[in-house]
Amino acid sequence: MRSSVTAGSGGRIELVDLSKRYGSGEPPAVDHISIDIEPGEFITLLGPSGSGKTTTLNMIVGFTEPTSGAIRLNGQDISRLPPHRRDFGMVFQNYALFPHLTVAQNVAFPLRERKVSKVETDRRVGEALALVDLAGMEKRRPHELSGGQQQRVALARAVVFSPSVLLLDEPLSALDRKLRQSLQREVKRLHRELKLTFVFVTHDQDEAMTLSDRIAIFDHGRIDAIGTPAELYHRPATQFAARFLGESNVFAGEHRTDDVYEWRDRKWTVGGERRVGGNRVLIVRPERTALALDERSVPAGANGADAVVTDVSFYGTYYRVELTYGDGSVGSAALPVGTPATVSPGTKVIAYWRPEDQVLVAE
Amino acid sequence: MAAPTATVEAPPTGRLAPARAGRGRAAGWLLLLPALVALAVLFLLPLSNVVIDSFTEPKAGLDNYASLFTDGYTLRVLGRTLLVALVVSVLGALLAYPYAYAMTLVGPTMRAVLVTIVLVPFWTSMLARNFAWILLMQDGGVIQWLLQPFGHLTLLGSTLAVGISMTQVLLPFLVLPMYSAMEQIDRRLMAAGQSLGATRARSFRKIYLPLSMPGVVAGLSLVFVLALGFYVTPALLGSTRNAMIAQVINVRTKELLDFGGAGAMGVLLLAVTLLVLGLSRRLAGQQGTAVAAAGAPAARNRDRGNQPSEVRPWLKVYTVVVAILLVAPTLVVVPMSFSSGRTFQFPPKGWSLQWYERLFTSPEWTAAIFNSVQVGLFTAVFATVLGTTAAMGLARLAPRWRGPLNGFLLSPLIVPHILVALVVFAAFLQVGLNGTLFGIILAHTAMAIPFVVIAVTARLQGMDARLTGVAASLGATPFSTFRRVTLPLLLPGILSGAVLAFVTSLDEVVIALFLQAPGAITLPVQMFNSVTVQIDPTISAASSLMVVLVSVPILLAQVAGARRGKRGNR
Amino acid sequence: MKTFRFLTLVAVSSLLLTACGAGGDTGGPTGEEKLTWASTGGQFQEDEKKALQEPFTTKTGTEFVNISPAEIAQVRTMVKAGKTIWDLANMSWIYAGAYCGELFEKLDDPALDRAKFPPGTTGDCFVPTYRYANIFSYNADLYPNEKPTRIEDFFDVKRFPGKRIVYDYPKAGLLESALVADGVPPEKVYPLDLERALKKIDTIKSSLVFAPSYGAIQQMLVDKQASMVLTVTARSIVSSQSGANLVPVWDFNTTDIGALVIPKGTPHKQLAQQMLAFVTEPAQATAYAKLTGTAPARSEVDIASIPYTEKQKEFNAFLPDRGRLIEQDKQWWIENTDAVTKRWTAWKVG
Repeated sequence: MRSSVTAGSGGRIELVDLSKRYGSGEPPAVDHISIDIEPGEFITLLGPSGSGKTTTLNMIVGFTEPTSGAIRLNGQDISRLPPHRRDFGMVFQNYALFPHLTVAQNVAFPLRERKVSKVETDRRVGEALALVDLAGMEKRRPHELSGGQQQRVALARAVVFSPSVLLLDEPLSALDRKLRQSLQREVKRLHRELKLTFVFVTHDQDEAMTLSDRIAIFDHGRIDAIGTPAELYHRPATQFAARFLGESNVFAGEHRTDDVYEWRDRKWTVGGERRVGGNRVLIVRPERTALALDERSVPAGANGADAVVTDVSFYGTYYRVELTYGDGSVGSAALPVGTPATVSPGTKVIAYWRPEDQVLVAE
Repeated sequence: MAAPTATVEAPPTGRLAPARAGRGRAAGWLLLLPALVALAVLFLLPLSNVVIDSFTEPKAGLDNYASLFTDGYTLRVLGRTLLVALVVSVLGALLAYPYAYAMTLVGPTMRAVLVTIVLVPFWTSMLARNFAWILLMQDGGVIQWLLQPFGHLTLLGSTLAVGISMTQVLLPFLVLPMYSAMEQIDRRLMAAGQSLGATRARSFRKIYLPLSMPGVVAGLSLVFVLALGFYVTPALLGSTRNAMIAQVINVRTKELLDFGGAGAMGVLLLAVTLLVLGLSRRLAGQQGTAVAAAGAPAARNRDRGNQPSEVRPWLKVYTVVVAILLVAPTLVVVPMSFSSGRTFQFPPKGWSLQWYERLFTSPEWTAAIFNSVQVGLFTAVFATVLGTTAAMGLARLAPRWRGPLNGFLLSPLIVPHILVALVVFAAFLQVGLNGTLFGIILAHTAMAIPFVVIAVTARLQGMDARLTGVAASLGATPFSTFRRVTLPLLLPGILSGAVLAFVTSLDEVVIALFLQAPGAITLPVQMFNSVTVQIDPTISAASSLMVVLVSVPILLAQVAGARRGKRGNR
Repeated sequence: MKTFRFLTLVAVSSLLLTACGAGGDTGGPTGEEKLTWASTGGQFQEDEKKALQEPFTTKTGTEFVNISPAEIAQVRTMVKAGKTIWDLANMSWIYAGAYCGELFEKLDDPALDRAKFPPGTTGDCFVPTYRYANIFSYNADLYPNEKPTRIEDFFDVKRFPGKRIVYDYPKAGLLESALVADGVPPEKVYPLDLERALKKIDTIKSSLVFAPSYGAIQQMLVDKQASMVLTVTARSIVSSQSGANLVPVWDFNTTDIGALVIPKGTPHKQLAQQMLAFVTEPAQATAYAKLTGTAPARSEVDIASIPYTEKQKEFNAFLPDRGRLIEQDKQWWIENTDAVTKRWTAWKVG
């Protein structure tokens, strides 16, 4: 079938102690990061603006030269190789198609650079366009296509020459929600079929969670946390990771003794938690949080916190209840549809959860 | 939106473009080098003599400069020159903008016609054109007749006459950069603006106008600077009483041999011009950042083949009026060339082919045409290569270098031609280049580089800077990237630069007059010499011939290109 | 894209053509037998070729290289650079007088005996090669009733309305005419009272048109844009021939000389002087006068013997009964031209 477009095996990328500093006076854009990316893995670099994820991607593709550290592809150091010799496919934000070339010419571009014969080029362009459902669009110009179509062309162009790694720089951020979701599925399918290593940059946590095998969360040029989406979500290692990935209720109390975490006048059970000194915050995910109207309704053994409901919204499968806690911090609870929802803005409630659903992380 | 990501995370040079900044800068200097060397050798070095003269002739000191401020007329002339240049460039912009906008709306064939019309003033010889204006504007002439309802107006000899003629001939310099910038704008943005609730006018003002600003600023500053140096038009159509600065400089050098005084005036003019340009750059700079911010989405959906859309009636009328203005002198020159009279006549009282006969049977005229075409083409080739590389180099430099170097590259536009002619003549005498076509080509190349730099820079600013990086990621070597991506995208800019360079050479008379020798006489020199002592309508025949020779192939090539473009494949 | 290809094709083919033709273009004048002659260009220089250069070539074998126009600024540049490439230049004697020995060679060939020329028309660096006048004439079509007859009429825009066109140059006869019209006797015109002259001209300033070139004068006269003119002999004749109904007013006019001068440092000084002497010889002077309508320089030539056309006779100031004439004072102009030009420029602009 799509044998020639399918690469078969993805490349292994190792980032070793990689740093980038643009000016001596400025803080480093990327600060001593190391990641091993497995062959065929879908890894996402996630982080807010300015966290260094795009700089990292630019170093991998070769647009930016690292200040120190190494980039290895299948064990070989490629950090000094110019971009056109790295053989990575790349998909850009806002498509970046060549406006003066047709769809077919855009996709054929990397093949022509590789001196692929005309017949072979035509065949592979056809396959690549079929792969992204654009057969028949060969003669169109980029400006005649919709945004989603343009990004499909960009995808076809990036994989047509069978690179071992595909780099994607916020490829879906310019699209509307619906298109974005359909293209997310597309990207996932491509990853499955092509078995390439995907390095995906985004600041959209949902996208990261849906697509990735692993997520590396960037903050201030460093990797704050790295792991599978489930690990990162349920067992966030840092407050930053927890806040960045999904919603959280974050309580800043005091970890007095091994077993007790004090928040305002409440004493919570912290059984089974690792014991590390210093200030730590307690984090609970909304879907693990339940609401009670009075103290009596809180099950025994659960930890509870006083809150006032500020908003209730319906999400189809659940109600999202926005809360303001006694200390003024804002959080939320996700209540399954079907639970007797008798709260409305202004209701005083007690939010509660089981101790095993909470995470204590460094402040 | 991801836009903030792009701005915050990006190093000052942009997200991807010259990402390997150090290497990019070095390459930038390397690209600039040929043009800088050419200008330094052909222009700056010789010109330093003028500056030295201005401090030493006739005796050392600042006397020449002091007298500029005390002689009672230099300042007035300079003020008048600046005012005329300002009015001409602003009025010209008002005429040019809707015309350029119409060019983006019409279909390919109509666009080819509009482009050809814009270029017509270029091919019509300066002298023939000005004599045509004399005929149109004189007492009892067509324009006076048209303006009858407004009373008896004496145009000839007035600054108004000079202004009209200058505006007409400078219009192409406004239309071309404006069109180049507008062509890169995605008109869907305006639709988007309107869908967001802005009125048509408001969305034009808030979206289209700022996006087209680089073209407007490029055209305005170009025309302003060119207008400062006008000599022949004010001399023929105006009166020495309302002289412009180039005329006074001419008298100083050519009649008074006061090289020091002329040099001082030249330096003053240069300083004032650079000041004005600096200010406009600052203005444009502010515009520029706004544009850069808005430019990303524009570049993303670049819409080179904007679909033809409806041209509103008022715009149609306006465009036709501007088109008539553009070709008016040419429409006089052509009939003039078939006149049986011995002076210029419009409309001719009798018809004859005598001037064509003279043109084709006189070896001087045919040689002059051939020489001019040669010099023009070589100048275009040299200046285009040097100017394009320089513009690309400029784009890679750190902003603090970009301004001054840009000013230096544009300086040949500002310095009055008579001064350039003198210093180049002196320099070429020493190395035996005077009296050769090659010498004229070199001098013209120096004069033409700025036009190419302006045209290509305007295009570069509108180009999506990421595309070179994209090409590299797809396996293209830097050379291949240039050939397959940068060059095709810059081509419209490069082509208009080449056309401007060709025209500069084709109509340049002051320098060519000084460097000429038998065998190295260009068409403008031949024309100039044939009308200095008495009228010779052969120049109208030669000029008509040039218009036809150049316009027809350009029109046909464009129409053919448009046809091919329509079929959808290149 | 198509256009680009087309232009490339044109460029390439032209490059090839140039490469083939380059051999013929560059052969500059290197032979000893060549004189480089810089002059006005146009018909005037054609007449010089025919009447002056061709006979000399026949006689001596010396060839000529013709250049135009002859700019003093270029002479200065050549001399300063130490590379004088012109041998003879048809140029105002004012420069030859003001920069004699500095930018121009002194004439020391015995054949150029100053006694052969009218008094007051020679200098160390120049001798006249022909004589002409700055002639006041009017367009008869525009004055169907009363005709101008005196120089005062040129300055009387009430009785004789219409534009007066003058070459944009102070020595074109306007200043002298203004003084005479203001009551100065012709013989007292020099030394010239510049301020008085300008004051007189101020009375008609708005009717004056300063022409940037002789071609413009001709065009405006033929198109009846100006009704009076003060211009040189040959241009008056040409304008009249090309359709302007010009009538000269022989009341007061100034006369002047044309001169060929030798730029300093020419390698062919002797040959150039020979040529100069040859030009003033009666045969050449007569032939030249016949072509241009000017008058021969040497006193010995009988002007009556020249076969002028009727039109040329009509505008010839050196024939009998031509009213009051004065020769423009060479020494005065040589000494004062710079100051006059500066004042003139400031006055015009002011």
